[in-house]
Amino acid sequence: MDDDARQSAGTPGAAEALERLARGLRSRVATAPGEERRTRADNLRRHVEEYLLPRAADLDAPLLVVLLGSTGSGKSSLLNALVGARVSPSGVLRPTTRQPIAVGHREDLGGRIGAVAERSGLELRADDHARRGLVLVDAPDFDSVEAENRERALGLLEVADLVIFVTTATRYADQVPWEVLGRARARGVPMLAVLNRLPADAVDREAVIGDFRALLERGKVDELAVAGGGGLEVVAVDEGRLRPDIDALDPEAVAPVAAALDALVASAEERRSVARRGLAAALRGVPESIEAVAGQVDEEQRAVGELRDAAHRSYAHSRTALSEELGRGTFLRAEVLRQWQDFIGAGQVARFLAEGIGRIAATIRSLFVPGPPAPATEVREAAFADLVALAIHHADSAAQRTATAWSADRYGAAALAEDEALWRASVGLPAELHAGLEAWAEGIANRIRELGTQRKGLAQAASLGVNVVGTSAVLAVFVHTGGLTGAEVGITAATAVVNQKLLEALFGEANVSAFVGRAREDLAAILDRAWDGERDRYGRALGSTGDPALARELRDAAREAARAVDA
Amino acid sequence: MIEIGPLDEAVARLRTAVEAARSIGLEAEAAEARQVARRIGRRSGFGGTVYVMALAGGTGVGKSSVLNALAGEEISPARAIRPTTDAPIAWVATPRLLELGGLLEWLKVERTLTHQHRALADVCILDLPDVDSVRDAHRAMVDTLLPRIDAVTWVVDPEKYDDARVHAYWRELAPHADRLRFVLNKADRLAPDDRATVVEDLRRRLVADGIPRPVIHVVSATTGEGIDELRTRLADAAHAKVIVAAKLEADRAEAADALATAAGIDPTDGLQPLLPVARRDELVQEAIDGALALVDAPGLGRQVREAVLQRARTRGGSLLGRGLALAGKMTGRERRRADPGAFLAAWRTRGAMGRVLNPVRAALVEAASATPPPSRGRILEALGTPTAEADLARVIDRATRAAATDLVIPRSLLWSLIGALQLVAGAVLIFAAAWIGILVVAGGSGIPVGTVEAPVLGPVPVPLLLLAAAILVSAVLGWILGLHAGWIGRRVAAAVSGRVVRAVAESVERDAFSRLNEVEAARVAIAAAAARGPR
Repeated sequence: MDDDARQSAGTPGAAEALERLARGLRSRVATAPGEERRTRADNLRRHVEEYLLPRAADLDAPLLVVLLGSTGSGKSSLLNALVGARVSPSGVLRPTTRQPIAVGHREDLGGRIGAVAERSGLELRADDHARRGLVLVDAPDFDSVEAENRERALGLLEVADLVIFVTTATRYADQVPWEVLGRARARGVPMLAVLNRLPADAVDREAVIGDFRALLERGKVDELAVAGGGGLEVVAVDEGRLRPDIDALDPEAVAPVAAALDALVASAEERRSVARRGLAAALRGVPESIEAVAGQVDEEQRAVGELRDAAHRSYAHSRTALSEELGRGTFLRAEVLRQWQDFIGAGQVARFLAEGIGRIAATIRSLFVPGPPAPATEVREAAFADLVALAIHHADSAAQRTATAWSADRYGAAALAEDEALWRASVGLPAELHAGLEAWAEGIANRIRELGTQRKGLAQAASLGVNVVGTSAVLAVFVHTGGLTGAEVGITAATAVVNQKLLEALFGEANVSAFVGRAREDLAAILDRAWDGERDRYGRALGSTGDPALARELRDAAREAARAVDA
Repeated sequence: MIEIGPLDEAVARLRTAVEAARSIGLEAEAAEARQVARRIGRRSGFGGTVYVMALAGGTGVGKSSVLNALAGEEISPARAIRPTTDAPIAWVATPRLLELGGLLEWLKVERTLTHQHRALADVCILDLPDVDSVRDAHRAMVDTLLPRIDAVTWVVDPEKYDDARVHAYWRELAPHADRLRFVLNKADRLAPDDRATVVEDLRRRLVADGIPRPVIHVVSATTGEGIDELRTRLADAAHAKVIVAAKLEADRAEAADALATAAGIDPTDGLQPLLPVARRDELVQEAIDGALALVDAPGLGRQVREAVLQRARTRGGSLLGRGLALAGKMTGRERRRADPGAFLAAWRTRGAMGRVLNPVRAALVEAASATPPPSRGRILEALGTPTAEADLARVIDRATRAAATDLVIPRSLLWSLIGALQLVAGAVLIFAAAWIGILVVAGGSGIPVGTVEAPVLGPVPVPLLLLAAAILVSAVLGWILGLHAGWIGRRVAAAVSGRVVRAVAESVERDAFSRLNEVEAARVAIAAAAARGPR
């Protein structure tokens, strides 16, 4: 017992690791996908925050003794017997214990116990005759139909210093309790077992007790004995051994339980030893428990990585397809181009373009036939509408391809079920693109105005209006003669030719390609931005699921906490 | 055989619904429903003179003890250690043993015990393994057996009537509430005052699980209390045939409802289209408008008019006009401006497919969002095809090509007549020009040619008059030709454009939304299977 003094001062090496572990688990609880994973992380977090940390800091704090059992197994009757008063209502209706009760001496109910009580919704009952250094908790049924009861019971298992496991001759082979016992074993909490409602027949009675012991041994639960070694103590209580006045089991029948508790009360050494053994076993069990969570994070990380890749691939593919179709220039409606061609071919533009005698002829003609009014704004808007329709088409395809790939995956399907908008381009995309294109056209107009002050040809263009020249430049980005062979020459190429002629007359041949090239780059930037936004929706839908740093941090901290025990 | 005429028809509808569900991507749901249909077929094949009733429950509640008490002898070993019963045991009336052979084999029941209780001749009682012990195999066995069993008596005891797992079973059995009984065993452990309280609590919980009027028997297998009454009630239960038929009908209805729910149909509310009709019409119109913008009917009209004019000129034009037409043909100008067929075929160069595809896609996504989230992805996948764009292009291609083949640029006798007159006018013109030429040459040289004297009509020399008349006649003929060809051209253009517009609109409406139509048709089949028929 030399190291007791050091131990009771806490295990400082462990404390830091446990703090890290608690932080990691908190962030896991916040981000875990699905109820099951969240609960698993949350129970571990409670184990670390509400048991390991306070226990490592102080081995002498009162022991939390939790009575754990199935619905109807008689936990409340046992508690009443141990306390010697009717503190917890027991009854024929299942489940009985709705508000779990903690009984202890007034001075033992503060500190960690107080915190646990608040979290688990325990009702604290101060009892001046209670055993000092112990707080007894009557947990709710862990197999109850009430989900809240189950959650509270499993949470209490995580914070207990000592578990009194209560079962019955009917129940001892039920599956749910054995799942709970499996967790108790993993965290190494010292334990006592009470086997209630044994049949009167002596042969049957021994058969049941023997079968139960065999199950305990097979499940390696007997290693949890309070005394350490020597097998788990099973206290057998026959059917009908009751003390009805306080709704309790016959105190005589449960005397071994009371005796075990009294032994702990009598000796602080004994209490500390139980606390230390429980703590050491729990710390040793931490890496295994954490592995279950970290393994889930790993699995999520792999799955989520694939999902992100799928989104990236789809959007890169559709962006390329969009560029190609933009490059072909055939996405503009013929009506739009015809309108523009008619405008350029007539009226003052024709006059502007013609030279020598033709110019005079055009001037004379324009006096009689004024030519159509400039459809600059209409044509530009129609062209933008076509471009937006094209972009939406490609964004929709990318969304569909991504969502189809995602729907085959668990996390992908969950994200899709949460946000059905992921099946298509976002609703705001058309408006966003329109706004971007308007700004782009505005930028082009500004540059034309700038150039106008520098070039004479452009000063002449003033008579045409910046709007007309701007629309011409916009169309030049979309339609050009390159790549079209004679046979295909249609309205697109025809418009490109006259449009090009107009721009060359204004800017000079050499400047046109530079000007249009810059406008084309700006347009690409607008589309890239929109595409990034579309793709990022998928990243956001996955949240921080599967953070690799989290899995690493959890494992590191767990290993370090376990190492502190051996040191 | 059981007489289940209406059931047969209903099962046939279920089978149709299964195929329909498969066609819209609900594979898993369809497989489940198909299994139910097959199960119904198997069970009805075994006949309905005896119904199978299982004793189910958690470990230790006394299923075997209840059976033993009913029999008055030990049928199934009941022991203290848990769990006891490893495999189902059947307890049947001796005379029925033979006819039950196939059914018990189907149920994979190997141990069968017989009895002579005449009152219980129509029921075959199965003692099942537990549903909640550490032996997973027991639960698995019960889970595969329960769906094949006609009626269930669930045994509970005062300690074990509120476990979460048991409630999960009860909720699942709720559609079969009419054939469910509950036995509260070990009543001897309860004080007389407590019994009513426990039964009331149990009843309340059963109602919460979806079993509105639960039948609860309070018995004690140890003291024998309530056992006689239970036996009488079992013997008095409805006719076996009725129980079997009702069970199968409940199975069928449940399977059909599950399909309906997955397909976004509320079985109680009837079928609503996934996409409201008004919204659908709106999107169809949008897609048609998009396709028509590509086809470019006004452009097509121009081409047709130009082509008619061209043809009129080649037949009825003046000499100059014919020359120009020939030049147009040779330079390819005609092909560009007056070839409606080629113009139609080149629709792809006149805009992007987005305007057609975006509304189609919007329709599919909006339709799918009317289905429950688990089905949504699969239905959407069934709705859309990866080749949607190519398919739609083919649809428009086909429509335009058909219109192009029908395209006939007409001829007119009038044009030939005008052509002949133009030839005459041309000949006159050349003659008059030659005459004048000779006069000028002769007059100019100053040589008196004697007889070469121009006749005069009034003050004007005849050759000049002829020349002017020829030019005037040619111009008037040209004007008439243009007027007529323009009129014909406008008529033909209107007809052709109208035809193309109709063909494209019809094709887009029919083919672009064909998957949506198929899904709706599948939903009609599923709704028919789930419909609450007049009972």
